[in-house]
Amino acid sequence: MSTTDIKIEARDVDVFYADTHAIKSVNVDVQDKTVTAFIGPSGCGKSTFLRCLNRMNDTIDICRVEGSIKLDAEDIYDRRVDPVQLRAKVGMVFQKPNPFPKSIYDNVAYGPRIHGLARTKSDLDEIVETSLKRAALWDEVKDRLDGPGTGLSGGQQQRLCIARAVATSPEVLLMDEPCSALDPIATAQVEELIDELRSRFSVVIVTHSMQQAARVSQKTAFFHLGELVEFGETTQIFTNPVDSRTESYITGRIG
Amino acid sequence: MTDMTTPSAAPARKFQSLYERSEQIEMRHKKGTALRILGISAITLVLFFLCVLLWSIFSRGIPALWQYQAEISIFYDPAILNEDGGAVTPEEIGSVSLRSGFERGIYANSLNQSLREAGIDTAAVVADRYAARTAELLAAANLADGAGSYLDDFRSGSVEGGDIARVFGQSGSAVRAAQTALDGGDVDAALEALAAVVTDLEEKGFLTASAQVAAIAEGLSAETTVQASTALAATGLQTALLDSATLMREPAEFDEVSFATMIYAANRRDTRDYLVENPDLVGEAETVRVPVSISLTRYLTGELQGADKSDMPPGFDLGHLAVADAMVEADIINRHFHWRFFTNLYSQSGEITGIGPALMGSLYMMLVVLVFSLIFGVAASIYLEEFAPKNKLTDFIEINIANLAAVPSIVFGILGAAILFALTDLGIGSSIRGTALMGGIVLSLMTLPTIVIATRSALKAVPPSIREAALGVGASKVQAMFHHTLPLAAPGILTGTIIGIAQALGETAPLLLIGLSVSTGADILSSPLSGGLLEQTQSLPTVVYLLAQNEDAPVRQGLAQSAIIVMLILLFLLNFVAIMLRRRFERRW
Repeated sequence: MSTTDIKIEARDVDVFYADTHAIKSVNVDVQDKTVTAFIGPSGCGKSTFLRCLNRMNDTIDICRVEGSIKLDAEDIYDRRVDPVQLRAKVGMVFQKPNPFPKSIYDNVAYGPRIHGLARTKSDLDEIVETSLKRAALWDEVKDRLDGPGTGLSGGQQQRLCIARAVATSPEVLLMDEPCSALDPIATAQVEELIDELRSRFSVVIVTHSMQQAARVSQKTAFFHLGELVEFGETTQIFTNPVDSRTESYITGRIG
Repeated sequence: MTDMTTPSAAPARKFQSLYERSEQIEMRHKKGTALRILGISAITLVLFFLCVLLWSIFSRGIPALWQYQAEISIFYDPAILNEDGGAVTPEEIGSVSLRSGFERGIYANSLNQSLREAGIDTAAVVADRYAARTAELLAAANLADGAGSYLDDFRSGSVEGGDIARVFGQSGSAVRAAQTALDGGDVDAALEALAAVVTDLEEKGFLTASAQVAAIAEGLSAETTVQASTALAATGLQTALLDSATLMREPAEFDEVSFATMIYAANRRDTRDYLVENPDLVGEAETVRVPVSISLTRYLTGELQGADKSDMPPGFDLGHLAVADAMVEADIINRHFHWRFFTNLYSQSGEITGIGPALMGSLYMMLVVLVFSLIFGVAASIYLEEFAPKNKLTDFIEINIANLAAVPSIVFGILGAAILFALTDLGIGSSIRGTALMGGIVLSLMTLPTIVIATRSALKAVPPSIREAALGVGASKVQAMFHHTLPLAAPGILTGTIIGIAQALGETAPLLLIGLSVSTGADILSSPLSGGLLEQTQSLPTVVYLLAQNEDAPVRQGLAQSAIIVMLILLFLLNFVAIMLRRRFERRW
């Protein structure tokens, strides 16, 4: 593994919510074109850490981040960095599908529009079509792009959200438990999608399902009580964990 | 628990049938029923009072909008307009002294002429009414037999009412003397007085009454004076004769003044200005509907029947009532919808008062409130909700906004008045005093907290996931706010705004303090774009206040209620708009 492959490099990251120490000195390297899974019991800080990667925690007043997180060797918490610009590079898909109450087309076109990615209407049409195709939603919605995004089923909505995130051509895609609100079929579709997305982006996924982590990720990080307990190849974590806590968690004894 | 391990030791479970309610269930049902009854009775009470309120407003306000108007042909008599005779030019009309009361002459003469044309002889009508009423009075005391000839003479005009009054008065005095003598117990004097009464009544043709008195005089002794006195009083002769005398003294010529008390003569300034504008009308006649006077309205509505003095409309006597009845019969007076109420300026005179400028002033103020409070309110809410740091200062501001919403409106009025005084010192106070702009700004201040609170809760109600989604694709805070949160909060904001505006529409106290009730120059305003906001005006609630204060007939007629109905309609329209906007903008997420 060469250093040029490393997309995000987090060093000694501490996160505080007021007086609560939520993340304790975490070091993680996210590789390019790889799916990295964050697993761990509820409240272990994996989502918090994920949200640090595109500074979504900025919107929470009492949240404070220390340490360094570098995207392509640039510190994203540098004073010169505008979080808006960062989020264009690091897209995010949330736990609950949250399409805008607008048409499917407008949902996908929103990002490209505000970032000025399309000069003409046909450019925009193309971006929308490509994004929806990448999110494996095109065939289902191509005849009703003017229909409301909220009118889709849960799985479709989540794929719409993925299309929306993909449309801004991010370099990293963060997914916060993207399948927790979906049924097994929709989950399978989304997982398949994640595998495809890997060819273009670096994907970081937070999940509660260890099977899912095992299925989709190449790297896995296990969080416990705000600490990064173990980080390594997924196969190694699931077959031969180093730490006893990891073993306990994946065998179902804790968590 | 060792006994748990031995089931046989457990106490036998008591059988509880599902068909019987346990005590606990019974209790719960009772509580539920009590709550339901309480709720229903509360709603019933509220509905009852609402119905009473609406009924009291509509039952008075609606009929008041139908005004008694006399359709007469107004003749703009050059002789009145120019006392020296000769031609009447617009300049001359313009210089007519407003003190001369010229308009009264025009209106009274025209009314007189119109009645004559309708075949009403006012003198005869008046005489008839007096004669009839006198006949009634006399008939009540068995005096009908002699009354006829006198009253016929009176009707025909051959005898003056005063002369007849003297005749009746003498007889009445004689009866009174007899009564006094009887009360004194002096039999001789009483007999003498009674004999005089008998002779007097006989002479005048009141034979029945004369016989009655003679019967009382017969067999009068010292012991029977008391009974005799009672008997004489019971005949009612004294009262009937003296009252008739009073009544017959009353009839006066139905002159210009009398005519003028029947109808409302237009404001003399208005009449003059009207003629200056339309000089061709001088010497011409035009048929117009003139509101009848307040006294006449009170008679026509049945409020004052004129049965006796205390029941007589102010400035009226029986003659006025007779002429009024004749006018109604001749179809000259009718009830017509009072359109002018919606265009006229507020006036002390109930006949011509209106809510025209007030309605416009209120609408203009609502416009000002909408612009000011919506812009500032939404801006303040967005800042506080989205951008302001959470610290002691913003907490303080937040608490004070909530407090501000509870500040009595008159405090804002005082604030407005203080600003007005300051502006007056700067020399521009008089130009802004009583204008829709000033009123609107004060009302905006008052409405602002309401709108801020409503807007903030509407913004808070938008699911954070929408905002996160926007931020997640790289929208800035401002973009997330204006592209997503604000449109989704719009229905709530609009509802809050309309509630605020509706509240402002009904506010009286602050407007009274900044001179919106006394704006003398108030007239129909120009459009807001051409300076209408900077013209002196009135507002609906202040006019309602003035109408309710007015001791003139409008309140009795219910014009204050009519103005309230207009306000209510405005409010309903506002609410309707609010509902429509909600429907239009409401989106599900």
